[in-house]
Amino acid sequence: MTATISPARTSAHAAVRGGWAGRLRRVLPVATVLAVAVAPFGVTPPVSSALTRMCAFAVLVVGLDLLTGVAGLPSLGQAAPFGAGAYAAAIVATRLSPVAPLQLVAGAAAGGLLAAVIGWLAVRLRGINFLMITLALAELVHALANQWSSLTGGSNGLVGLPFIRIAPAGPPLVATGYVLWYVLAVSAACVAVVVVVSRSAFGRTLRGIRDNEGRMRALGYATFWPKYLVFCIAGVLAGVGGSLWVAQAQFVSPGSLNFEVSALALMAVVIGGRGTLYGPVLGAALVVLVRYELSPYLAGRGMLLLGGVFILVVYLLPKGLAGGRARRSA
Amino acid sequence: MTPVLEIDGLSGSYGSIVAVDDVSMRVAPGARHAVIGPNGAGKSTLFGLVTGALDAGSGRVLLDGRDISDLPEYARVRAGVTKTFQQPSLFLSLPVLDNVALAVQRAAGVGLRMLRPGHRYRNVHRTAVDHLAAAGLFERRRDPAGTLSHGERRQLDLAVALATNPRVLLLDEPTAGMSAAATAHFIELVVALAPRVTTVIVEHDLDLVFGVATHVTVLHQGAVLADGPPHLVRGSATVQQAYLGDGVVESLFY
Repeated sequence: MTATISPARTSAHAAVRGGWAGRLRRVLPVATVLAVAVAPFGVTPPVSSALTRMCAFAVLVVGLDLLTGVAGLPSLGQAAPFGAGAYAAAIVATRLSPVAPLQLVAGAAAGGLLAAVIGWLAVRLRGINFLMITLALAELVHALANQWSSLTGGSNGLVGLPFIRIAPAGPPLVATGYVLWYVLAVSAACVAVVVVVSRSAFGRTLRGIRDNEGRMRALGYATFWPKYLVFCIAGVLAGVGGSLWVAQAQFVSPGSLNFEVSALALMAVVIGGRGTLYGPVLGAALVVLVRYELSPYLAGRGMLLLGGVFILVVYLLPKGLAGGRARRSA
Repeated sequence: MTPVLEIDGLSGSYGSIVAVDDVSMRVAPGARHAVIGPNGAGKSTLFGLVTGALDAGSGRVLLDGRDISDLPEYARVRAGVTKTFQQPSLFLSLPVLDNVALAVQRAAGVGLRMLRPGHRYRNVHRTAVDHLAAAGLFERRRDPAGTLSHGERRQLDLAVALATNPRVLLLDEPTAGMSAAATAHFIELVVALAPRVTTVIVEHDLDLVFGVATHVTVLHQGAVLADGPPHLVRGSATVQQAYLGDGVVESLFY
């Protein structure tokens, strides 16, 4: 009896997966990367730089989505590992080497280490308490960046970073298009890594914790470790995002560690559709577009516009831009 | 014969209210051990203390003679003590299959692997499908658990608990809200578990208890009132008193 029913269902599902929707979902990421990659041939350098910032910010946001959307831990302190990565990259750039991969590793390590410290305290808490402690510790790191002038340049930050190079003997990447390619390559790889992690057994563990942590303990999971691990992964990604941001901006100040960065990142996750990964990438692009690119033309009222967009999305698309056809974990 | 589960002088309280007071009992291997008692007798609290979900004030819990009192909840589950929940406790946004797979992948020790897609662990997948099929939920495997009916959620809750590979399974009012047909299916399932899995059942349905149990412990106001084979417990005057009161019951009806 069951044998007659189950193949019908399975083939129906296969049809959906192989259909145009499934194909679109497979093609869209590749098409997006290609479109951004050829952009420098058709757009002005300021537009290329804007795309570069979007890519860098997307790494921070996709890591936060793994933490918030997949594992259910909403952090308001991701500016801390982002800023740590930015400062680490900038310090390497000014004192050590203009080689970008070196700055990248330094940024990733700084973000990961800071997250390892913050996470040790934070992931023991839940919900609003988790939100508050991540916010508080990020503010502490922000204050530290302001005070520790010998290392961070205080409130002036670190300015005039050299153009990045891919290899020690290579030429400096002066053209904005080259910088975009470098940042695009790294951020696409990061998004791919997050997608793999999210689909893995570990990703399933994270979703279980999001849905029902108590039952996870009753299944034999020591839930601290997966939560701590994902917090560190999100920290590494934030650090990578910070180092990519600096590669383009050639400048870092305590502003990179602001509460605003944390809030914008969380906003991008919600606008894009938490837990969907590619939605928040879209959200990151939108947030950077409005806050950093359009704001100067709006007499600094970018945040007002962003607030309006946010309210519209929350009311009209409660699951975010990527809502509806979100998340099918196999 | 060493008891598979031994509870020794276990006590637990909520603030100043003592819910479980110096309870001792021994569960024989392969037994279907029922714990009964009026509402508020401390049955669910006792389960919480045994699994480690609640902190015991005093007393010990031994599994196969090994003291597991100091282990946290997750470690006791790994040692082999699992419980089902009075209200089904599931992962409502995840597919039905994933609910079971979470338990299986933990038992297989791959819950933290990050590279291979979750569904590509063949053994995990196959074991999860087997558990689902046994629970009669195979057809629903792709649906989010949140779309299941109450009865189906109970079945899934049991399948998830069994997927942890327990030596001792604590069932907290497993048939509450189940249809007669589902209850009959459930009884078959529990009977088939012995001798591999020893079960301890908290249940209000006394017909079910005396039909299935091999041993009965009666709790009353947090303490053990009676303990023994079903026919002895059933005839006990003190038990009937605890359930029905001492004869003043009739006066309520006139």
